[in-house]
Amino acid sequence: MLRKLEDWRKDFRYLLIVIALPIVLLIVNVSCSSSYFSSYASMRVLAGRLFNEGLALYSDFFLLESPIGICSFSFLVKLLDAFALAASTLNTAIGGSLSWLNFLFLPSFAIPTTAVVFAMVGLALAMPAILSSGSALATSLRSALPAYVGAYFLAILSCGFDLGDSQSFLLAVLLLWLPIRLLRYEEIRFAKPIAMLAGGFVSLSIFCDPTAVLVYGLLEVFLLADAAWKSKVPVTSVRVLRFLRQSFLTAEFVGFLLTALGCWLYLGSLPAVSKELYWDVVLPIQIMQFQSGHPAIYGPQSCPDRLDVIVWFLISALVVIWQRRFSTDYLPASILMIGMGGMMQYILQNEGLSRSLQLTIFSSFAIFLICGYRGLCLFIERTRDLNWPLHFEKVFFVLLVWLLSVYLNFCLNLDRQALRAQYQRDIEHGAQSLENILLSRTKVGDKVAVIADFPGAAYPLLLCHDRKVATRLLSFRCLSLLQVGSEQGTLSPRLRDFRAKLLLDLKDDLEDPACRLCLVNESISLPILEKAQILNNVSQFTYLSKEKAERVRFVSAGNRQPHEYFGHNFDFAVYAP
Amino acid sequence: MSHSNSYEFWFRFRRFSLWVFVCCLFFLFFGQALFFFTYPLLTYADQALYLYCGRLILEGGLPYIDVFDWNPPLVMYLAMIPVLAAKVLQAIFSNSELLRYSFPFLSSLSLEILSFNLLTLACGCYSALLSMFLFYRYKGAVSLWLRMPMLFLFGFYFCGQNYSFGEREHLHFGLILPLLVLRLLRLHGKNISSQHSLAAALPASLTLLFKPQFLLAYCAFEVILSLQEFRPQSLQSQQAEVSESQPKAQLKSQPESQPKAQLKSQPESQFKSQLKSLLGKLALFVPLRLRFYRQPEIYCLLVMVLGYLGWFFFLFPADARTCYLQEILPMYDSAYGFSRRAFLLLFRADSLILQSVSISFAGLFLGLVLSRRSVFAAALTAFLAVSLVNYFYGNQVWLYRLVPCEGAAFLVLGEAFYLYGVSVSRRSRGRLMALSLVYMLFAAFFCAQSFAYAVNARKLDCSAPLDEVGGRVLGLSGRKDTVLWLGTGISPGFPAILQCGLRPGSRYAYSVLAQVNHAMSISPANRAHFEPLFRKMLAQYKSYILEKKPRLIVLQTNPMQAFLKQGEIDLTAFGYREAEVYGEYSFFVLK
Repeated sequence: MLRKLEDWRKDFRYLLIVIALPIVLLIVNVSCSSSYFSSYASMRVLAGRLFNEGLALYSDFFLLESPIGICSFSFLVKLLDAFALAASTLNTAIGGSLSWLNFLFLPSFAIPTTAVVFAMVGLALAMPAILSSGSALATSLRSALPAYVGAYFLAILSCGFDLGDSQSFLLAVLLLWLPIRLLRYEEIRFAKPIAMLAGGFVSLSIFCDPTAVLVYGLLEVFLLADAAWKSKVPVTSVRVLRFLRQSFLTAEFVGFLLTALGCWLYLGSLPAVSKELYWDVVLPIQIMQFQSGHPAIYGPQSCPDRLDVIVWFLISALVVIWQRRFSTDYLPASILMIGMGGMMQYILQNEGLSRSLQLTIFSSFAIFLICGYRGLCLFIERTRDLNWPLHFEKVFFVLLVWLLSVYLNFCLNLDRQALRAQYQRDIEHGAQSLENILLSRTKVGDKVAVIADFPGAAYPLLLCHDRKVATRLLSFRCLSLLQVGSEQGTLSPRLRDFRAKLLLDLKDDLEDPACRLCLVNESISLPILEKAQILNNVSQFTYLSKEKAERVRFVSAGNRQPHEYFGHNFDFAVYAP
Repeated sequence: MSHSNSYEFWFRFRRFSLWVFVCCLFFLFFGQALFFFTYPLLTYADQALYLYCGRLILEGGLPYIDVFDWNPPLVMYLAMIPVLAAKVLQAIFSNSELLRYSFPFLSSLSLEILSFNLLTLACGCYSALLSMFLFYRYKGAVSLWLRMPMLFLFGFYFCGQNYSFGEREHLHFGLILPLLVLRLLRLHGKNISSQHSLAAALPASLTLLFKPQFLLAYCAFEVILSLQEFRPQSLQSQQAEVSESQPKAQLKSQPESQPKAQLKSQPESQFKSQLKSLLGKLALFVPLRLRFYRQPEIYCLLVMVLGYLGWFFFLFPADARTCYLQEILPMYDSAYGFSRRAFLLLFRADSLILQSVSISFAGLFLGLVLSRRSVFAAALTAFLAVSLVNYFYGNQVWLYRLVPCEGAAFLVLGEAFYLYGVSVSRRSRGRLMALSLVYMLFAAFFCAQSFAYAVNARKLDCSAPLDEVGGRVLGLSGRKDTVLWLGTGISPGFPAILQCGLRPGSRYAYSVLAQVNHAMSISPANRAHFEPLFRKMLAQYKSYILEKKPRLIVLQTNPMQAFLKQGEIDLTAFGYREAEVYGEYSFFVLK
């Protein structure tokens, strides 16, 4: 049915052509953002730097992230900081005329989706193994590869390049993992190092974001069901055991176990206080997020923009069901499982953020592209006697991916324009930009406290202008969650103690004379501080006084990512010496 | 798959692709309609004035007497249609609880602007659908399919207008396409029914009467179509066509009856024979030409022209006609010089002008290249060239005047796609299907892009209906107050008056004092001629202010303040205080 391709080198060139324009657009868009960091990436960069300075995790600085994620990010920060420092030094040495050097290096922070590079290298290494096999799956994978990788780039384009979070890391790992898992399912042999590497990444992604288990689990359940369906034998314990043996007595499982062991050992090597805080505080707070009714928890249907993603995903599911009627190929269905896993994560995480839907978006794109491409190939094959132009299906596919990427880029720019318009209206109505306040009232190296539910949104500016974070608490969402728990009386004694300690630490941080500026989010964080009587203390400080209830916008002329603009959530009250 | 199956597939595919194109066109128009529902008060200078004129006429007012304008009256009377439609809509809204509940925003507004915009959009939609129908009915599905890029480009350009949306040029371009298609079909010798001809010609003829320049451009189109018939090969083909209908013996006997030797030896007789043959050709050509022009659409056009002239001279209210012919028209040429601009500015006054002029010239160039291969491209090029000449001759940097040129450039591009499609179709059906898929992809892309833009319009707030002056007018006046706009242009003051549901404070929806003053400055004779009129206008303003006491007066400081001084109009002495100043505009409120 599908035409055989001559050799894999040609395929690879074709793959590069498919993703060339999306990559260019991605780079241009990341570069267009003047602060270079996305909010989540910036919080991790901050945490990574503090970690590299030797501060104890969770006790000297606190955020709701897994220790493995922070550790791996700190490694990236250590690596990339050297480049950034070199670029900055070189730039200073030649009189600052090469400011584009910073421009080049800084975005690399926003890419722990440097993991993307790993995935790409992994795919490139896996290519010969995939292509040398003559099985139906190998043919299916080979023909779907451009669509598969193209869908990945389209997904991150549509998510506004928020590449710094665990979800994008998970997506990049899945990109590598899925073909390898499917090849193993078909019992096709391939290089063990690649399998071990992939298994290692899977383990790492689970340690970074435990809800990733859902995605991997769903994929395994689907494969088990598929095996049962194919053999027409009911799923028995013997069959399950056989499936497990086939799946897990493998090189990738060894890689998975080794990495998990390494992670476990690393967790064990953490200071006792960090370990204790992780198990007793961080994990329970993260679980609280799933059920909290706090205003900061926006819920899965918080934004109508998410609705179209869900609708498209459901349509793609229908396409997969329709495709299964004609073909035994289960690649689209397994991609659908990834999307479904992503959807479950989105609902569980309960934040209503577009980043949580990355897997679902990828899944929809991949299904449409793969099924569309195959449909076109089939169409051309069936009407071959009408003399179609040579390689038309490829040309058409490249055009489709390019036009889609231009369209997504257009939509993203529309969002940016909207953001800029909103920002302009706010400024006209008396709001100030956070950037102006930072530049006018603080110097390089000064400490600044940003107390907001999403302080990460303000952190990119601190990083860009070399200001330090004054508070030990980096992620204030946990304070909001603890506050709700405290009001409802559902907090455990340990969490109650921790909340009291957090508030005391916050008070100490704000009393530090090195803190030159304090910005408090008025709608969510200010009431919490008032209830905890921290605010009264702040206003009594001799060096910090509330100037006036100024409306400060954290964005600078609308170049931040759209989803970070939550309107009311970023009205700050300014306290300054 | 067997050949017969493939062909069946091909037919099904063709039908499918036609449906895709139709859906794309529909979504293009639907997206724009959605945009107008998002901004039910979005209008611009001239459009607002016409709407006001239409409303005034419906209320029993007279054009030129009750409202001043430079233009012929047709557009004012046509503007009654959206006003009437708005009234019907409002009646429906007031009688339906469900609609009021569903669209609370719309039910509280005056719907004139919305209905004007939607009706303009409907004109474009009608034009595109009728052109499609004509191609399908008289040339077949393949021809329509090959022409679809052109129709899609038409829709894309028509919907993509913002400042020019609903201007006379825009309406003209929107409604003339079926007539152009019809004439092309006539050239191809198709027998078109009178109903179809009238459906295409009637709206087009109406828009051709908006301005004499439009008629000129259309005549250029017709001339090129006619000249095509003079070309030797076409004459030969026509002779062949004619010869098929006449007895062969008669035709053969005419050229071959004279011996060649005699012709060579006698120069006089040679001249005579050449003359004879030329006359013979003419004798063949004239009936053909007459047949080409003796068609319902041409009759319709002539009837409309004559009817319009007859209506204007015999039925149009005499006072208004006298005012237009004796007061406004003599002033037109000298006074309009006020808004003339340097030649260079006509090319690049701003980025929008530069873009439109560039597209027009690119279309002209492309049309010239294609004119050897396609008569339709040549005729469109002539249309474009004359429209471009009109723009430069008019010497005013108004974007809407470029709409016919730019639109024709898009049609020329569509013709280029058509020619490419024809050349591809000669090779293989597979190639044609491949091309169609690519066309569909691009159509879907542009459709999605414009749809996304329309949906995001409110979020972007890029075309907010009220500008800075409009916002202040709204802030300083109450509902149904009278507002006097003393500025040199219609915008920014007048559209705001209409949008906010206010009433203009005088016969002059915008002030023409600056234009009259300009006419006076040209020569002493002009001064002597126009000064009484200038004084009369000032006196009218004074009486308006003293008698009607408008709630708000918006004054464009330069040059209106100087004129008011000449007329001894002191707003503060008349009971007004300066409430606000924005840029060059002062806002005077009744104390």
